[in-house]
Amino acid sequence: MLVGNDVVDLNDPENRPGALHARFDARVFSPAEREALNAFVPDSASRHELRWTLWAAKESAYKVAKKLDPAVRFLPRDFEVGRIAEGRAVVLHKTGPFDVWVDRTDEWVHAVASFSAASAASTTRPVSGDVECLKALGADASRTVRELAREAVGRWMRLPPGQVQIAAAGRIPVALWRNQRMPVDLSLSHHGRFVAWAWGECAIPADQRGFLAA
Amino acid sequence: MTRDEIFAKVVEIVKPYVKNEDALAAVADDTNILEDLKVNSARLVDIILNFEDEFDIEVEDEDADAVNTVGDAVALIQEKLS
Repeated sequence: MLVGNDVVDLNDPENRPGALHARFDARVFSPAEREALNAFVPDSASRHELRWTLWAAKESAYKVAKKLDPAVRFLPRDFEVGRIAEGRAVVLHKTGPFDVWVDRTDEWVHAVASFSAASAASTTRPVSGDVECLKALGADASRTVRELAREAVGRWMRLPPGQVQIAAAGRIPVALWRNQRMPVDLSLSHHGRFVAWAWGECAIPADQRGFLAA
Repeated sequence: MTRDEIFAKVVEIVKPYVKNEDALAAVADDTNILEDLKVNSARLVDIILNFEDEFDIEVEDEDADAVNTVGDAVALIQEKLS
């Protein structure tokens, strides 16, 4: 199963409604998505949350689409959120559709997208992941999220601490054990005060298990 | 407008969104806006819209997606202005 995730810090000053360019919504969202946003009062908390939920769903789906087809580009209006209900969304795209699980608190929204027939039919979450707050202001978010993902994947695989490595194949993170790719597809994200990761089980073809850094 | 003037204006527009001040201090054509300057991807949308306003140009989504580095932005704006 291929996985993509995206976290948005809802209280990040740059994300506040007044900080966005006046044409941001028109540039990013489809007419139907803008209609959904316009159901809320401008600058309201509900509109703010929906805006970034839509964004996170699009970004997470894009990350999966890019794994399916490296030529895919992030044209936000081309990744259309078809519906959001009860913590799930569907993102439509020519490479999809993508099934997206959405978690939201007052502080963050986290979207995890996946692509597989099993995912679309599943009523239980077929992917694992989490969100953590950075412990210190100015902490290296990229390093922190790799560490946390490494520990989480290690626990899940019942491997001794420190044996899992996170490396990059191009810009895509991969989990390694003894320099072999582990049977997981991994996605990392960070924004503002938060880091997030997600992974799903994924068969790695025998000829691709040996890892060569791109 | 000369290329140097466009470059300076691009850096001025990008600057408020930069999280890596060290990379900004050494900014060059090959500086990657997201990876080196640590600009958030949503902010790149605002940056492209600010390019449109400042240079009085229209940037299509496909062109915007091709802007990875400061040099890419300068080249795109030069092309739009020519």
